[in-house]
Amino acid sequence: MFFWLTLCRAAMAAPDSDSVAVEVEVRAPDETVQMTTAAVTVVAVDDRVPPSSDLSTLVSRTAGTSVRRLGGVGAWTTLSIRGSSARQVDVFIDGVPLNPDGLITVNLAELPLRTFERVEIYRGFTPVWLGSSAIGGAINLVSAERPKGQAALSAGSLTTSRASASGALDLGNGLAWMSVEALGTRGDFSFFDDRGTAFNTGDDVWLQRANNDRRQGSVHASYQSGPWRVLTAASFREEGIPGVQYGPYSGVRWSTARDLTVGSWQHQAGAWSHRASVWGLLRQEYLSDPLGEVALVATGDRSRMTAAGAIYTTSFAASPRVVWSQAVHLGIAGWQQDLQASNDPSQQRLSASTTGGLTLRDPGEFFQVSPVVKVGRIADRRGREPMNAVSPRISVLWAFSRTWALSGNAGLYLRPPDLLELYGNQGVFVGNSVLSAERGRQGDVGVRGVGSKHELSVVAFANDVFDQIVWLQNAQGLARPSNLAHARTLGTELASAWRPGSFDLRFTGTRNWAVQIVDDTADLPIPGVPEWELHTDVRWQRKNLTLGHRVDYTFGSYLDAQGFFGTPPRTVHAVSAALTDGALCLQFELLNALNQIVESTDRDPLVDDGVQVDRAVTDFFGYPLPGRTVLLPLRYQP
Amino acid sequence: MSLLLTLLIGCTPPDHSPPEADCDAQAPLIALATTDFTVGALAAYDLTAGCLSDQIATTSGDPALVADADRLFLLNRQGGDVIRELNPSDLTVPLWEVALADLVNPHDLIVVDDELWVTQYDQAELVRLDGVTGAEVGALDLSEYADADGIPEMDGLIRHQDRGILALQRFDQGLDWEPTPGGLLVIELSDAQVMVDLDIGLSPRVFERPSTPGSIAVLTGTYGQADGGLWFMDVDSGTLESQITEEEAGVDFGHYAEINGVGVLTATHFDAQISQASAWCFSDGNLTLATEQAVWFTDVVAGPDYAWLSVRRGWDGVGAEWGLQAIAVSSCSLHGPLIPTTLEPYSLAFFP
Repeated sequence: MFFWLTLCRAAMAAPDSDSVAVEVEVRAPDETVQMTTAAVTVVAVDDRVPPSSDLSTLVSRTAGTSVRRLGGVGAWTTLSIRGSSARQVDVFIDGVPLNPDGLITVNLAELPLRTFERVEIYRGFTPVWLGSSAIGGAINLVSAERPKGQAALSAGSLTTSRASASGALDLGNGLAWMSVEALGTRGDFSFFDDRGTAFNTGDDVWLQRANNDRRQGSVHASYQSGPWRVLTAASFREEGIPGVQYGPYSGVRWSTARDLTVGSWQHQAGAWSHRASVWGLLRQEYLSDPLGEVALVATGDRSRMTAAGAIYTTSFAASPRVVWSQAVHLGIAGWQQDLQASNDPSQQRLSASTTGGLTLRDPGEFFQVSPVVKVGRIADRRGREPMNAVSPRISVLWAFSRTWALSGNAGLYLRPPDLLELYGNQGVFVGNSVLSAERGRQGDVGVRGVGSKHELSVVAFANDVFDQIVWLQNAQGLARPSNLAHARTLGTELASAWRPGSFDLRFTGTRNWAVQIVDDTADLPIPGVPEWELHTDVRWQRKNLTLGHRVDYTFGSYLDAQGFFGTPPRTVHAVSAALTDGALCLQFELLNALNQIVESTDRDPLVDDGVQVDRAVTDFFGYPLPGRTVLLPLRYQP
Repeated sequence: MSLLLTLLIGCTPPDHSPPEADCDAQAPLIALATTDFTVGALAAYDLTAGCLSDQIATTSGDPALVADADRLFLLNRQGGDVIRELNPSDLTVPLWEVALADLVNPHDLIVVDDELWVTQYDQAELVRLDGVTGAEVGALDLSEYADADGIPEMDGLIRHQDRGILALQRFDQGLDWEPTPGGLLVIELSDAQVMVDLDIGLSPRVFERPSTPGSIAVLTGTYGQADGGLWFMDVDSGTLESQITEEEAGVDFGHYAEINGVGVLTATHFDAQISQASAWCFSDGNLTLATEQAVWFTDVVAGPDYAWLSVRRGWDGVGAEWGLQAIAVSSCSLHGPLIPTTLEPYSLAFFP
């Protein structure tokens, strides 16, 4: 242990020390950087990804994204892309939606990162084959075609343990592959509690988070034979809901089970390529609230979401300069609730969409333009008129040198309300069946370049959302969605990488100007979208030793929609080390190394008296974040 | 590179700082607790100058104001569990602030000599605090007056001379908050003994009747049901007299205030999906409609000349305006324009 701590101190003290950094490449799959029109970041999930990383931490360090956590390793997280709401981001596994039209927000923490080969984060414009018109963007988790076998064990603070293993087996006529992962943590970290009395510091106490434990497991398995492939991705998660620190829950438990099964076929013949998939998605959630702490009444709410669909994508390269792509998505989603009190416990939705696009290049392939249009129709079983939607968008790219390119995207986007928003009756969430769809328009323009030892991307973007669906609380704490806000986010994103010698230096920065425009009169902030978000990753590698240092800096975020409670600048350090000996790799990671769990803020943000008091560091009101956390993973990769 | 840096840092972010107050409200005033149910803010309307001080200080998302014995208190209720004594001449910084136990949900208080008696909606004890420091000095166990769940759901508490009149709403939290018949307790303040225990209708709320000493008003009935009415109670004799029922009125009663012998009642439509609120004047057994709007009247208090309504948007939150509205009881009509507030008002208190 002393050895590792010594390494860490050295890493923190020495400005030229190295780190285990997240691999960030401004490169889309199967395309060169010069010919990618989308604003996309592709992160390889390899041994350079810190062992503690889950999908949310990986994504949070990319440009244009903001992640908010309820606290602790594996805790529930939401993702915002360019100031979007979490529901305005589509999440896919190998191009198959995890939150298709009608279903709800995906919890990024429940997805086993190590199962995937890479993560593609599309900001705004998404490629035709995803068939998405999400206002914020999309995340596509990509499984490896020839996965490597590996096993890992990890133990750390707060009784946190993680185990994972994956392996592939060549069966002669096909390749079978399986990956399993399990995580458990007690999550009982210490936090600062001011007891909600900013004017009375005499009653401040330190407490331990309770009912914050969680266990989750996942199994991903696939079998591929020639053009055919079957994939199943299942996960289970059970956790305590600790509640806000001023009114903690002692008995609220939440469990989720999900399975996505996909069968696909792909074929390439000359200028044509085809891919067809059928998929089924089952998600079951159970909220146990025996003491009525959440919904005021004792409940045991079970909801089941089932969805199935088919996807057909094709492309035809008429010439190197003209490529036509088409994606057709058909889906049916159902939602059923077993409630103690519900007046409309089940709903079904049919959806169909087709997305078509052309890619046109000039003879020299310096200039490229890609018009895309998505046409869709959604019909609920009862209660609402069917809705038709057209979402056109266009992207252009000018590769003005071998290493530099300019790109731009613009489009109109649309999100129909999901079934929870329309018909929900889940704990404190009550639906509103007369909601309108969210409509958005967005555009970006950027420049990027790549060389042998450096990469750089800078993008400026604008994002407008009308009829934004906002959950409003009433006096009893029940929340009901309404079309209220006009949300506008302007911003810039910067991502860079430089690899001098044994060093690997990465930097991403995002600046947002995110506001809600209510009744065309008042500009209110969008909670959880920081004005500044900067991330640095420094990695140094020599022979079998790798040292790393990460810094996450955020500034200017608000916890509430009124803009009362702003968070002060927050700098969180993490250090790591890895020692490799053949197939074995022993790692060490120290999260929140400086144990930043208390921050000084204005005693009352509406009172200009200059008095500051301590409050717990949070992303959400009343949900403190954990302090220094140590993890020790051991990995075997033959 | 300079272009890139300019893109990244060159613009000025929008200013989210609160608007400047347009006056420094002084007593006599109407104090307002405004909220979006996540965060809240204090505001005050100066009745002499006729101006509003808005967003004076933050509150929790579920605030309530109580004025008693020339003192003004803020109760951060569900999920807050904090009591502040406010300084009426400077509402920015409280005189003191104290946290109760988690999840007790304070609903009301009265000043009893050098103590504060605080009702706790989710506990069976009426807690007694030191009136100067807020420190707990005792408690009155009322569990014997509870329904099956052991909690009597104590709500409003009114002081009349040496007695306190306490409303017990008695929802059975073990049965999905099933309403059971509520009660009224008359408590001798000198020795904290319950003198009278009255059964009354569902979900009672108690209100002062400054025009009629020795009498209080009681509203009963659950939300969205024609199951309650308005009662007047003679405190000395402990007798109740029905004035009008919700069924007779055709609306669901909410709150009551009284000025110059005229009661002002807020009400809602029986169908909870219809956001239609009304305010009525009640005099000599007759109801007169003062206003009906697609809003939600969350409170009403009596000032020296007018009754004052807290006006919020309804469930869907679209279209309606919100703020503070005066009602002239002499003509039983709205008086003056709606006084807009930044956040929607929720609880009111008149401080003389």
